[in-house]
Order: sequence, then structure tokens, then C-alpha cells
Amino acid sequence: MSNKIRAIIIDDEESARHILGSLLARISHDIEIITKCSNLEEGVISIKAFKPDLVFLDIEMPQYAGYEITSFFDKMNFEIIFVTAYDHYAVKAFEVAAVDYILKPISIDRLTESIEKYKRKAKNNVAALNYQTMMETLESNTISKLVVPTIKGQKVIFIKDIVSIEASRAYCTIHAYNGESYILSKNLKHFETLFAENSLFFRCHKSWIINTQHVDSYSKSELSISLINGQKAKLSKYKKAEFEFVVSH
Amino acid sequence: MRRYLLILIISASTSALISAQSIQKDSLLKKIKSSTDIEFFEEMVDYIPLYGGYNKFEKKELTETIKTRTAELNFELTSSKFAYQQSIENTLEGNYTKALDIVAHLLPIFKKHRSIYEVHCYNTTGGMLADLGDIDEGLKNMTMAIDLVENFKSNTKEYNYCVINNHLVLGNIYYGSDQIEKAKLNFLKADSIASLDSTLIREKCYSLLNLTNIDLSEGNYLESFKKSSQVKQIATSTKYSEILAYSHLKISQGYLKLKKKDSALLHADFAKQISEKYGFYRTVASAHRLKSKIHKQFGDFANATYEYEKYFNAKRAFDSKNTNAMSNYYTDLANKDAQERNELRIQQVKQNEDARLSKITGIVLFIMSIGLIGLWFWFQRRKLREEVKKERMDSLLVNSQLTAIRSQMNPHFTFNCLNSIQSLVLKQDVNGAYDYISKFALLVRSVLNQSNTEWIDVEEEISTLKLYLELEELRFDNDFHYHIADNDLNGFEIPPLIIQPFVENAIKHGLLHKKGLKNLTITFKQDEEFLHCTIIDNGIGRAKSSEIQERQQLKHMSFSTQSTNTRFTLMQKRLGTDKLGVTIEDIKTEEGGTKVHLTIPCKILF
Repeated sequence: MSNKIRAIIIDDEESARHILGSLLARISHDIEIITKCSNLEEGVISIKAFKPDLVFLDIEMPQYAGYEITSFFDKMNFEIIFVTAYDHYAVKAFEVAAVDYILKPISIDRLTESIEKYKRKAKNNVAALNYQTMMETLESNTISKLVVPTIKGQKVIFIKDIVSIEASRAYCTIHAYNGESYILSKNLKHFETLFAENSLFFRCHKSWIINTQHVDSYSKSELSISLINGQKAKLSKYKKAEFEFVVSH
Repeated sequence: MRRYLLILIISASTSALISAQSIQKDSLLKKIKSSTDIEFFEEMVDYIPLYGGYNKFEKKELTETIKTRTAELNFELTSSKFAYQQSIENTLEGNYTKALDIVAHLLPIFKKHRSIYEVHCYNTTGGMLADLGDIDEGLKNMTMAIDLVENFKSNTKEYNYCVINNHLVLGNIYYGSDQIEKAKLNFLKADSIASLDSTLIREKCYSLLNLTNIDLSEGNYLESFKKSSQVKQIATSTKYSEILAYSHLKISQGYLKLKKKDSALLHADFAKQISEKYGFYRTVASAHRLKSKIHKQFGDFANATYEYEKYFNAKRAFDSKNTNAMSNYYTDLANKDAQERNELRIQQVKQNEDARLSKITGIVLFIMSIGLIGLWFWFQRRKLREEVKKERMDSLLVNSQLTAIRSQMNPHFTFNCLNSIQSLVLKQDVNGAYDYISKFALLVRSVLNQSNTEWIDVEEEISTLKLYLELEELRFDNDFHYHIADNDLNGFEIPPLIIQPFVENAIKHGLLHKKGLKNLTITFKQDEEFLHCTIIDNGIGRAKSSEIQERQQLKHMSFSTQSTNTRFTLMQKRLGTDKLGVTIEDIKTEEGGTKVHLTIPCKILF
């Protein structure tokens, strides 16, 4: 038996299926495209028949959107890399659920990165947690949970339990209410955009986002905010008035 | 001229609230219709406008009923007080014509009874006239009110109340004519007097709301929020809907200053809904105006235009309702004047045979003054209307030009890139061509995202610039190097796509013609107000470049430079500073090259 990654491509456009297939052939010799499907139902039948390792799944398709795939399976024994032409709300759901996705037109670098990520990933069935979080986010249309990496693998946390997010260079540390902290290789801008609609979170400084529900006290003279977990977040002078207003309401 | 937002002042006297706190409207109506007790009606004068248990419409009904009832009973003064209350209702609804009519009718009655309401009449008249654009006449009425109120010092409560209102109206007149310090002084005085007496809570609210305007113009957003939120709470509990609407307007303005679009829109909507519900049309117009401003600030010009239309229509409706207000007022004045002249004339006729001449002079003067006043008034209105129109045109023009320039830059990029892709295809460089297309797509995506906004995060702008340079890099044969020193460049916003045209110029005119190693360095320095960007190339320099252009007969100015220059000029106009702009110098070392220095406006986020 070969060690090749067995993959299926699901996309309603012929040219898109062709491009992805050709690119995969160019960048990697250990991926085998078993079949290509033009809609989700066909894709589901193929997945059940061929049991692939990896599925490239377009989101914008007639009848069923790509992410509706979860409703066809009790247990998903394959990984999905979503493909989408638009930077829309679904992308936020992928982000919070740590589900991989690629924007069209597909860049070679980005595709290579996704394949590498897939290969590195431990296959211990944590994917279910990601897809569940993704669907909850999509269905409720609000971001309330976040999948974070831990030493053991992954974990879902409620974003209301986040006390603060601290940036240091290219990564961020999320400090949770229960004292745990998680390191993610994202910048603060990423979380600021992700939580933009959530009024709990406030970007108070270049390197701090805080949860205003978890503020303990605030020092005007030092321009620092004490959080209930004992941390001291910095406060930018440009954000002072806004912060005072936000916490007083 | 500063836009004129007069917060209308309600003159309703405040003495102790009567014990009948919880009387139902219907039973109160019954009592009104059956009572003959003047004491009871007098108590109602204060009770009805101030009691929070009735909404605006119930208050209206009660006021009308009492006015009629007291008139039937020949309680002239009491009835007039309720009539006065109706003029206030009209003022709030923007029917200045009617309100001024009522007040003019009531003034002699109050004068006859030596009632402090005479002060109220001058006060509201002054406010309305100033709001209609006649500051001088407004101030004249205010002088009357201020002089007159001194006769009523013995009744401390009523006196304080009138003095506060005088300060408020005066403050508003000064605010409207840009005399901010004087306005602030008056508002502060009103506030301090209103703080002395808890029954003057409504006046306290008006003082605070007016001070909010000052805070906003001075940049004390936090203070403005404190005040407007405090007023909002009071207004909610007391059901003073007009105050509630104003407080939402002020909160929204505060949010706008803090760049919170959604919250600003939300509160502007609250203000609009409340004022629509209770018919405060002036405030409805203000809310639309504010919404337009919010949309404009966030680059949503379609909605900004839409809201502006609505504001404009509302404003027009208000104007048309009140076209006659000023002329009626002047006719009134003229009539009184004529009446006095008449009396004088009769005396003179008795004494002097030459009265005939004076009569003719009187009539001629009267007609002339009416004519002159009318003419002046007509000019004044036309000027005001033109000003509104001009301001609207200005802002639309600037916005549309900025948008147009931004979107015109796209095709310029596009053609260059398509050329490069064609060449890669002809070279049969599949990976190269594919890579180029995906980068190009990314660039298009970010340019599209940016072309709608007025400001963009500097990191995003730099990454777009890098993408552009990566595309350019592919056109050269490995001898082009660029370096962007963007360490620690974050936390502020700049206008989008403003650096790229100059980088493009450096490449097209400087580096493209150069043989050997081509270097491009972009460095940044940031201070509180500006981002200073320096673009250095080691290209052939401006003199040689124009030589080549001349030889190739490409004398025309490059499109993007031209449009960017226009953009800098527009931004200067808009931000009111001449420090922005571009300077270009030749590098006089052996290697040569060109150095472009850009001073770009920036908005610091944190």
C-alpha cells in the first residue's frame, strides 16, 4: 500500500477542479487525486465509497454549500481544506474553529503551506471538535467559542472566558479566566478583526486586547489596567477616553 | 458660519410639585372640566409640563383642555399661561410661525398682569429669531428679557428659572455665531444656577446638553459622554422625550468622534425615532444630518448622500413652514410702530398744522422700512440657502474626487501587470505566470478593499505596497532589489494607496532606464500628526529621465503622479493643513538617483 495522501476535490466549476488538480500535481508528488466531484451530494457518495484522507471542498456551490458537509457524516475520518473565492463570514468561522481554508485564486505558496500543515497534524481525531465549533459559529452567526492549541492537542474555550490577549512579536498569548494560557501564532490585529462585533473586547494598547468584563481596577496615572487574574495591561494614551467610557457603561 | 443647532428652551415655571402625583389623565380631565377653583388651575401650570407620568400627547390634550376651560371661566392670566405652553409645543415641533404668533398675542396680556411670563415671551422669541437667522433681533429680545427679569427678583424660584433660560438662549445665540467662549460662560452660569434647586432638573439637562457641544468642539469626548449619559438617564426617568432625543444625538456625536460607527448610528437612530414619534421635526433633521456625517466619515458615500437628502428635505420642510415667521414678526413690529406713530400724530395734529407732512413722511418711512426689511430678509434667506447648498456640494465634490482618483489607479496597475503576465506566458514559465496571477489577484483584492475607505491601517498599506513591489520585481532580471524599513510601523492609519504611485514613478522613470544593480529603499518616520516616508532610488535621476522622455516625446505628466498631486491638494483643503505634500530632490553623489519625501497625514489608533 502506498503512503500517498489520498484526496478528493469537490468544486462545481470544471476549471477550478482542473487548476487545483494540476497545482497539486506540480507541488507535491505524494498526493493522489482519487476523484473530482461537481457537487456536494456526489462528493459525499465518493467520500463514503473511497474513504479519502483529505478533501478539498469549495464553499460556493449550488444547492449545498460546502460547509454543510458535516450534516452528512456522524464521524468524519478525513480532513477538509475549504476553498473559497470570497473573504466572507464563513472565513471567520474557519478562523475561530482552526479549520484550514484557501482563498481563490489559489496561490502556490499558500497551497504548499496547507499541505505541509496537513502532514504535520497529528491524526488523533480532534477534527470533530473543529468542525463542530465551525458549524456552531456558522449557525448561530455569532462568535462565542475559539479553538486553541494546547500541549495535548486542541481545546475549545468560550471567548467570554478570555481575560486578555497579549502580543509579543509574531505570536499572541491568550490568558483565560481559569488561569490557563494558550499561545497562537497570530497577531493582535487578527483577533481584533475576529472579535470586532463583540463589545466585550477592547484593544487598549499596541500589544493588548482586554475583556472589559474582567477589569479589576485602573490606574489613571500609570495608564495601566489591572485585570482580575492579577495581570496588568497597558493602556495607550490615545485609548484612554474610550476605555473610560467603555467601562463606565 | 457654524451650523446652528439651537437647543430650544422651554419656559415653564417650576414651583413645588403638587401632591396629586399620581392622578390619572382621565380623572384629571374630568376634574379640569368641572373645577372652578383658580388655585387648582394655577397648580396645574407647573404640574402638567413637568410631571413625568404623562407623555407628550397626553400633556398636549391636558393643556388644550385647561386653556379652554380657564378661558371659559375668564381666568385670563391662567389661560394665557397654558396658551404659552402651547407655543412651546409648537417651538419644539418646529412651527416657529405659529409659536411666534401665539407669543406676540400673549405678550400684552402678560404685560397687563405684570406677570413674569413676559420675560418668558421675550426669551423664546429671542431664541426662535436667532435660530431663524436674525441674530441681532434675537439679541434685542434677549436684552429685553434680561432687563425685565430684574423686576421679579422677589420670587427667587421664578427669577432663577428665568435667569437660567436667559443664559441658555444667550449661550445658544453666541454658540451659533461662533463666539464659543461667551457661549460657554453662559452655559456654565445656567448650569450652576440650575444645580442649586432640584426642581430645576429640566434646565439642568439643557445646560448639560449645551455644555456637551462645547466639550465636543474642544475634544473632551469623555466629558461629553459623561454629561450626555447623565442627561439620558434623567430624561428616561422623567419621560422628557425632547431631552431624551437630544441626549441621544449628543451621545452619537461623541461616538462619532471616537470613530465607533455602529454605536454612533445606533444613537442617531434613537434620536431620530424619538423625535419622529413626538414630532420634533427639527431634531429629526439634525439626526439625518448627523447620520450623513457618520456615513461620510466612514467612507460610505452612498448612504451619506442618502441621509443628506433626507436632512435637506427635512430642513426644507422646516424652512417652508417658517418662511412667514420672520415677515410676520416684522409686520407685527411695524404695526406696533405704526400704532405708536399714529398716537403721536394725533397729538401733533392737535398742536401743529404741519402734521400732514409728518404723516406723509411716516407712511413713506413705514413703507420704505417694510420694503427694506423685506428685501434684506429675502437676501439673508437666499444667502443661507446658498451656503447650505455650497457646503453640500463641497463635501460631495471632495469625496467623489477622492473616490474617483482611488479607483482610477486600478487600471493603471492592471495594464502593467497584464503585460508582465503575457510575457511570462510567452516564455512558457508556467509557475511564474501562475504565481504572478495569484499575486496580482491578491493585489486587486486589497486595492478593491481599500478604494472604499478614507483611512487604512498602515500595516495593510505596506503589505499592499510589498505585493506591488513583488510584482514589479518579477519584471526585472534579478537585478532589482528593494528594501522597506517598516519595523515597528503600526497602530495608526493613513490614506490608502498614497505611497505606491511614487514608488511606481521611481521604478518607471529612474530604475527602468538604469543599467546594473537597481536599488529602491523606502524608509519611514512617524510623529504625532504625520508619517514621513522617504523613497530613495539609485536610478538615472530626473534630468536624464526627462531627457529620455523628451526624446521619446512622452512629455505628458504621468497619470498617477498628477492624480496624487490633486489628492494631496484635496487632503490639504480637507484637513486644513499645508504641511502635507511631496518634495523631490536629486541625490548628488557619484551614484546619483532621486529622493522623494512624502508627508502623509496619519491617525494614531493606540
